[in-house]
Amino acid sequence: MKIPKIPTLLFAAAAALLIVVAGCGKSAAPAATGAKRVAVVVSTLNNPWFVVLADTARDRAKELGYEVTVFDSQNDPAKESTHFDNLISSGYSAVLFNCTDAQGSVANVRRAKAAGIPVFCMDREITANDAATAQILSDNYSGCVALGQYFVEQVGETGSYVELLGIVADTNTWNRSKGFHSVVDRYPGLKMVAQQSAEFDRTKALEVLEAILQAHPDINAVFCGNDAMAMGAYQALLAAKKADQVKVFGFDGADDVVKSVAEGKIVATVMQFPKTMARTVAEYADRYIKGERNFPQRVPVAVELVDKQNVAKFGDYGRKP
Amino acid sequence: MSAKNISTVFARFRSLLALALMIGALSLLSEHFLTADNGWNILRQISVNLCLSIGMTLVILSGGIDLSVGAILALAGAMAAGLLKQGLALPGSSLLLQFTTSGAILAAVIVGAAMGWCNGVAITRFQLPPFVATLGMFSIARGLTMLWTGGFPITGLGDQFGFVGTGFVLGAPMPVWIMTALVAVFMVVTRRTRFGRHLYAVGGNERAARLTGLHVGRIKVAVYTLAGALSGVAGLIVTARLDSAQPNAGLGYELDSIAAVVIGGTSLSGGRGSVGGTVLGCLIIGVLNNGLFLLNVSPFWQQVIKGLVILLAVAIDKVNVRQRDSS
Amino acid sequence: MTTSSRSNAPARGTFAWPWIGLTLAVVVLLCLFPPFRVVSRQPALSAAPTGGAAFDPVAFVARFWSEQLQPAAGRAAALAPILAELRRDPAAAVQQHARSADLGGTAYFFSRGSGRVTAVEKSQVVVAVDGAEGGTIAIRTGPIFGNAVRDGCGLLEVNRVPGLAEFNAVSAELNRLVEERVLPPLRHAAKVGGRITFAGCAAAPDGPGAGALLAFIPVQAEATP
Repeated sequence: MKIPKIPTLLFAAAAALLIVVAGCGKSAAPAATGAKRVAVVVSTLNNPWFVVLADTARDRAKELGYEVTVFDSQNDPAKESTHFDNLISSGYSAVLFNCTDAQGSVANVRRAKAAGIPVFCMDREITANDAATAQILSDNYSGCVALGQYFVEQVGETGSYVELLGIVADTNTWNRSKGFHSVVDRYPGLKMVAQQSAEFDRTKALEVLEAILQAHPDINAVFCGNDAMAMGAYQALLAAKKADQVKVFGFDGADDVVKSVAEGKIVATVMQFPKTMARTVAEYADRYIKGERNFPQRVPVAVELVDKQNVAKFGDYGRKP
Repeated sequence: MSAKNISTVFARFRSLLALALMIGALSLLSEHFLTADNGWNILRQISVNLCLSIGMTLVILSGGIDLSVGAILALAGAMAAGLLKQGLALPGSSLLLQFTTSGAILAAVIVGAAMGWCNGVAITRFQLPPFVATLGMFSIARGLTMLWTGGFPITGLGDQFGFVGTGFVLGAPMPVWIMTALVAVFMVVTRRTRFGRHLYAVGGNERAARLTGLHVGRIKVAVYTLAGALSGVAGLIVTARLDSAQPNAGLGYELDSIAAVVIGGTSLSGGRGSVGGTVLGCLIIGVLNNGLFLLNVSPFWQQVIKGLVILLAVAIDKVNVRQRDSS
Repeated sequence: MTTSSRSNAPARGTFAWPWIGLTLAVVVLLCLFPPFRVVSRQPALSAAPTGGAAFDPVAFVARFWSEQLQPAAGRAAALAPILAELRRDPAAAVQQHARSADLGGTAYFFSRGSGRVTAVEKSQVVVAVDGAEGGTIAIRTGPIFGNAVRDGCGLLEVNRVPGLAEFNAVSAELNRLVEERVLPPLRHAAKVGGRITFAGCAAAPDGPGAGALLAFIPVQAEATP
């Protein structure tokens, strides 16, 4: 029976491909500099906001003289666990961490701590006070309290609105919703006619709002748990020719929504400052590696309401210099 | 018989060659690769995929496919976690069934087996193509998981349950023991039992198998039930490792397991392949994943490379089939 | 496959020993490791979180209000000089007299003062402050939101409570106490031309906001018509 040569060749080609790509992908001469390595573990790279968070953390750590690798957990705690396995056994000096699950990720952080690797959480909180070395957090609840107050100012004390929630299992979804409701529910004239999850996704928000508009054609406002959904909601309103009557509110401070606020299309959003958080986290890691140990467990980073009046001050995921 | 043996052996030999090449290359390129820690990492990380892939091997050997393994994994894990944490309230009385760790483990396997059994019945009794039946089950199982968990993860399952995923026995992690045991059992089942022989027959030529009097329907139902039960075990490992049952667990895992089975030399048209080959396939994927991490390859490139490897594997399968038919 | 026997019929004459053995093993295992216990559904009482560990924002804030906040309000900085400095050099005034709790966030003043009521609006009362040469401020009388009280008094810090959610619960409870204890008498007694003495927190103006009125959330207030 003749021995098929082609499959073997194909596999040799695969192995060769791996070696070539590895050669291209590898950063130059790590052994020569002996630089310490820092890992950035981010929950997802599918959302530009998190890309900015990860990239800023990476760039700041590089500036401070470290070799940085970015790990994408793809919103999957199991993948995140795998990343921690790998980085614990590969000799990293610090982890700049954006968790996927406030409770589920605690075990990963403890493992890293037990292995002597400090973990600095950014943006998302973990529900443990003794696992991470420090947590730099955005106060989503307070941000939505401010948004809620502005909502009441703009929409008035009577009317009906729709709420689009983010991913149901994400604590930030509920922080934002609770903050918003803590204000708006005090005004019994404002009625929420529908509350659905659009999973922080623009396309889903478009579809969900289109469906809701069939059942409730006369709403006054839409509150979206993040900016991607706000953009999707706005598109749905455009298609239904209601963009002038319905006010849209978002959260995050994404570039396209800030522009939209400036143009008067979306009414307001709340700027989270991913760059501030990422830079702070990188700097804390640097200080830890240089010997400092006295860090506050939680450092809240302010979020700011972005509306038509002050929108000129914002852009590019932060304040304009 | 001998031609099948030789081409199966060669298929395994080819996979071994690829694995050896990769291990060699990686140990040269990264000093962290060939360490005990990293070795256990790789084995632990492939344990879930391997459990799923063994089931997938059986299904593909029978000539079918199972797209619901990841969804069943999630459902089984969620049910185990939910029963462990909250128990089961008996309706109409003030009694509560407080589940223990062993009860949760049993529940996961039984739920998985039950879902798999439904797949089998849909395919045999109702004549649905396996692709369609298991696609429907994928959606049903995902929906049931969401209903059971309300969309939230179930956490805080206790140390005893966690031992299944994080414990060490004689220096080796528990998931590795589980995976080894399952591999041993199913290698015996496929190679040395009557059921195994009948399975190959059904996959190789179903009409002929039926004509020789084999109860094809029962064999297929058994195979899908086993695949479901194995998904349940995989769900247990994932849930125990994370100490949390995620409603979105297992998304995309079915594709990884199909890839492992095909890379391991099992033919997608059924009747040819082995559990041993699947083990190799899982190892190749695991080493590839691990190596790409250690080499700091960008996460975006990693996705491209994995896709290319899968394409290569399927292309090779086609080449093999053509050569088998022509020789 | 050349055998023609039905696959699942056991060969005649042999007893199905493996199956019996397996069943016995399973039964033994089930007895050793029972899958579940039957309990009565009372556990709601016993499973309740055992005291101490859980954080209770209501009790925490009630204690904080009487033990720390009220005394501090009595000692808060005088308002008139702050207003004067704000007019002269806003940035310096904010730097010196206001404090902020988070990175890059709003700064708050914590101050006490007195004055004459010049206007009563739906959710605030406008007051001409004594000794501030025409400086006016507003005191909120409508629903209270936000973190002005919690962050302005400078006595609370996020790391004193278990987490951000609890920290926000503290803020909500502080606001509720203001609405419950301070606002009703204030709303009742404040009339145009009357006098008012108060202590409270206000957000500092963000940049040179000409004409922006400092809006105080009172933690102590006494109005005489």
